[in-house]
Amino acid sequence: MPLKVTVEERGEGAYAIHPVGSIDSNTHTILLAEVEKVLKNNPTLLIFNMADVDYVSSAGISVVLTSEKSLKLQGGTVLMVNVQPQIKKVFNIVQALPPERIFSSVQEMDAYLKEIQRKVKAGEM
Amino acid sequence: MRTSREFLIKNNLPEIQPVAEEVIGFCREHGVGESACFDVRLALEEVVSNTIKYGYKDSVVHTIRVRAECDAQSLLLEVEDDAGPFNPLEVPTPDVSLPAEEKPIGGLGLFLLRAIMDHLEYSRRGEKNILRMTKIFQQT
Repeated sequence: MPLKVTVEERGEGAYAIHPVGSIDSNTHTILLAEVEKVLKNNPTLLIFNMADVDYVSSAGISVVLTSEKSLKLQGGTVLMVNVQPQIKKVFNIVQALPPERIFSSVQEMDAYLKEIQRKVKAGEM
Repeated sequence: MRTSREFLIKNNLPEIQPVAEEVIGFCREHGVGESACFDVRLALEEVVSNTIKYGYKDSVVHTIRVRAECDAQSLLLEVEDDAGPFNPLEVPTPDVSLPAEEKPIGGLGLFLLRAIMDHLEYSRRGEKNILRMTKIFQQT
């Protein structure tokens, strides 16, 4: 099935990227093209919503890693949400993102973001 | 009962996915669980995509032969290609513990392969590379 990707701007430099399908050696270029468009806007937060991703190979991981490298340079953050267990396993094997930034649900991610905001306000970050 | 099936993939990336689905279908016939099927699909893709992307210097159509042999205890996946000599097991392991800005993007496929398959064996026979990968699993 061809990969479909939608991008939603959430304001204040935050973007949600929602791929649907399998991200493999053939389809990852579709995701990469959308990510590169977003990166041109110097985002501060990139959220990959993986709810509808059933498979990812190293080619797909490389797109997320490219995003991470780019955002880290500008002090931004990449998060992944709604990650299915087998996808999470693959990302953890190659340590593409710190495990604390890979979330099984939006609720988990929101709790993390609230805690980050609290720390920033409290001067702890 | 251990059975075997053969699949052929042309050296064209879009050809991998349909064959991977057939291989997984073969695994499911033996009751292989979804987690193991995911690993098998991933291993197959990482090996074959590597061959297709880097193994051929001409524009000729090449055929990669995949043989799957399965029973309740394990799956053997044998991939044979006629690309130039290449032993993926000799590729240095990338350091995935490096921070993002230093982490290599290349080499992750073979790193994953080593992590998800239980045994890997390479040989060169004539003009062919042969990679044998074994996955040991629990019957579901």
